[in-house]
Amino acid sequence: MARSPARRDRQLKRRRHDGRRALLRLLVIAAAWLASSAWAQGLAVPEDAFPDVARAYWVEIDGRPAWAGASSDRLPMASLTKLMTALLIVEGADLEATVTIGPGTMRETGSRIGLRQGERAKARDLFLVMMVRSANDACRALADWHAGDQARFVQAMNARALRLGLRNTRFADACGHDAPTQYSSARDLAVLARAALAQPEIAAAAQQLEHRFATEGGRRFHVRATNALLGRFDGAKGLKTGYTPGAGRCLIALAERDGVQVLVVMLDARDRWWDTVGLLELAFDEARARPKP
Amino acid sequence: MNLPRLLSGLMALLLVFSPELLAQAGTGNKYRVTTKMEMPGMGMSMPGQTMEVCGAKNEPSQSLVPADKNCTVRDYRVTGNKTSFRMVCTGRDALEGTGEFEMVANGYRGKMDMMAEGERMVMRFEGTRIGDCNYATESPQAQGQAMAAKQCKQTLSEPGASAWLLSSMFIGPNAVCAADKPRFCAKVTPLADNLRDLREAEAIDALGRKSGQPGYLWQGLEGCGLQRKTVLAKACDRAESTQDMQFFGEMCPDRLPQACSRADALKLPEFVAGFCPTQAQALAGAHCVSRGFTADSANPYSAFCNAFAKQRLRSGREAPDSEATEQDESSQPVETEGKKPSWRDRLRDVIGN
Repeated sequence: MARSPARRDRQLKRRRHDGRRALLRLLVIAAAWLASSAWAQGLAVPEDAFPDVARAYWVEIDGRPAWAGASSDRLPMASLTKLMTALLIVEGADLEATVTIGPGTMRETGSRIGLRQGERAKARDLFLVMMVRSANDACRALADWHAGDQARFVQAMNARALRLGLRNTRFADACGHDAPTQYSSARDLAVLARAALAQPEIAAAAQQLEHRFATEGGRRFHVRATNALLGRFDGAKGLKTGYTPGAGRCLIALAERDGVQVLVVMLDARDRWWDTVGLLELAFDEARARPKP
Repeated sequence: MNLPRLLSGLMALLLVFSPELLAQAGTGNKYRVTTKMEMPGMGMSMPGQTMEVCGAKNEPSQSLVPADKNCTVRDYRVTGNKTSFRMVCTGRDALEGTGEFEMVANGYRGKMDMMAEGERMVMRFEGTRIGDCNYATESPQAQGQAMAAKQCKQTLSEPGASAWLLSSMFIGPNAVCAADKPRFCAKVTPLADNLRDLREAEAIDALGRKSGQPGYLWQGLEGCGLQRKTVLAKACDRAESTQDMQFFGEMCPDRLPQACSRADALKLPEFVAGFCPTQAQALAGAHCVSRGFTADSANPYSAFCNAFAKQRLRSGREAPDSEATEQDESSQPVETEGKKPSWRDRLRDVIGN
């Protein structure tokens, strides 16, 4: 029997209504899932309790975000870049191998230890000098050696960033020099820091106060850590400093007390050391005040 | 219109029997009571609700008339099994209406027709006797009292002295657990001798006071005969002698100036940084910010400096931009530490030295 137009209309309306209700239900479920999933991944947006400490910052306690400001803003990150370089080297290179310093290294500016073209040094020493003293020539030597040239190394850095889910990060330089396409966010850097810390070589290097080594030719070097928190702040365990005129003063600080781990990321910080100390102390207070499970 | 509040008020009215029945302890009649609410003006009706109620045996029909201190009943008439009345309620749940009900073979039925906040509501109710009950223990009043007594005992069975949070249940003219006041006092008065618990209770109470609640902590303690002034004087003495400076700083503000003038930042760094702003600024100027963080790796004041840095963030940034002139990491020779310039002049501008 043919249906009347009015009845068909009513049925269509009801189906649309049911469809909308089902869609709404799906949206609610999806929103709830996204919220719980974001929280589970530590991606919830924390309170911006200290907006003046830096252009962007991120503080997490035992992997859980505590406070953050402008944490998704894309900003230059200077030598914090070297954490990605270190990660690629540790994941893919033989640290006991010998590296011959190439011409690219000679072009590096900023923080250097004065490596010479043709000199040969252990990859491990160059890695430690890059981490401890943030030496750009050691960093570049490792990148050129590992990938053949810096361009290919940077490609690998960007691919690794993609795999880590760093949506606000892009590399144009292996060692952190300012460039329009060299940026990251405080939150991405926290994720990168955690990935780097999962590598025992990096976690150990980040805590070293100094490093001494000699090239194959016998030239001796002694470098001290750029991270002023090491040896001065109780529980400091790293991680990386950075400065360029474009990025300002940057720092990823890690400290651990009584089994509580605090990570602070500062990009273009106004008073990098004192404010990081203040944030770390406040975070430890916060952890102490938390109800025990 | 606050419909839920109004409905719950009406339900309560229907279930509350006249006070004189309270005296009739003993076996009662158990009724299954169904109520249904309609709002003709809004074209809606609420689903019927059924509950079991224990009523007194031989209760007079008058007991089915809602009784409330804000309501007056007029034109009360009884004709055979039927009763009718008019009711006016004032106050928060103001309403005006008529009611009628009749006693039937195995119960009662009736309706109330009311106007409240400009809306008409009709409530129909029907009670069917389903058996016997013990009126002394199962009446709504008895059950309410039993629930209150259970709540009182439950509150007092909680570990620790947290019962102070519900001190108005035990202390004061409206205390529903007045009979349990001795046990309540035995539970909460030890707070006065425990610095940590007292400080935590005061912090929680202060939050409540900020949001407009009365101070339950001191209401409870004073209701148990402990005066705030005396308790704090004793506790502050103990805090000072045992060096519980967190308590002292938070709870003994009158004594802070003297304590701060004597405090040694090397021994009590958190106290000086957190509670002695004048001394802290001067010390920070001399030993922390003015020197730059990297100036001295063996600074004896480092614990104080860290506490000061934390306090500075907590209370908003007041200290100078001490790193603004720090040398660029990228332009320093890497084998040696860069010389740090003095921050003293910069600091002076801010702290007025």
